[in-house]
Amino acid sequence: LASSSASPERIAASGLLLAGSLVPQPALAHSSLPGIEGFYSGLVHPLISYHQLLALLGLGVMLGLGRTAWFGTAWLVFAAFAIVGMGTGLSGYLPADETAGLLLIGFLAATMAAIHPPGIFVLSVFLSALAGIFYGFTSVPDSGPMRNMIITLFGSFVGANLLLVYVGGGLNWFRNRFSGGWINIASRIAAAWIATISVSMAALILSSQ
Amino acid sequence: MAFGTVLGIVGVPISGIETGIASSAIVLGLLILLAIRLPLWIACIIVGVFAIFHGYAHGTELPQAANPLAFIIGFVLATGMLHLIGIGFGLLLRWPAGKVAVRTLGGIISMAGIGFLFGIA
Repeated sequence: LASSSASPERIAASGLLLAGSLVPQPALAHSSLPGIEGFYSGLVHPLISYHQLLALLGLGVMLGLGRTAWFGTAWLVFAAFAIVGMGTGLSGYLPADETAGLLLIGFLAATMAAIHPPGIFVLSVFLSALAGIFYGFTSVPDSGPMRNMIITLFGSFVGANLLLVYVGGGLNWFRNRFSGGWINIASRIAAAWIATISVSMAALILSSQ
Repeated sequence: MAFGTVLGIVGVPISGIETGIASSAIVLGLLILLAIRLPLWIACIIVGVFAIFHGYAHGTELPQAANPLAFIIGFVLATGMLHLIGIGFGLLLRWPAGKVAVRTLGGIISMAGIGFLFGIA
């Protein structure tokens, strides 16, 4: 990473290539390899679980609209705190409203992306940490042998990070590669939509309790 | 609109929602018809206040929806598409005939709002 050839753009491009080589599997109707069902189930979990998808989309757009140098740090923080959240969840501690919590974090991240204020590095890292830990909470399987749960959680961890690379890294790469304000405008509009959907679902969950 | 939607979902009582929605059509239509260009911050306040009424109406309907997530995605996308249509129509302002067309549409929107307000439409 310290070498000049490992620029943030190259890291993002490598991440996209890796994602592209791994993610086509979820497009299939079933697991292509018998025996990896647990991992596969975890891998696609952030795509089929709406609260995780919304939070990761919101976070990804926020990071994608930020400075390229920030993305790697925020991504690492997300990954580290996702492991913390998964470990905490596995040990039996889960907050009462982890789904609504993750939706509200997605709402905050998407709102920051839509408003797009300058110089929000600390806030980006903070929201990445919160999103990571709540993503971990919401990824813990309900029950099963510990080994299977860890395999599923590993798949969920990979899936979340790939999605974040796809959205955040991809958007950052697009912004660096193509000029014109339309990418920023379109991203900020999409972020506002993500924020609205996230906060509405969070309100619905919390008001129905 | 998101704020209004949340108010509607949690059931915060706000009166005159339908009146507010009808008024939004009247006021915004008149602004277009009369070609009034307000300062951006005033325009933001007007649009934001009216958006609360629109969001609230969606929010009150949401808990009864068979699939709330699909309902939310639907109304957010539909709202966005309507904005896009409006922005696209606004591009006609580049041409003299387009200005007439846009201002005429503003008048029609305003009239529709009046009709809605008095139960004609």
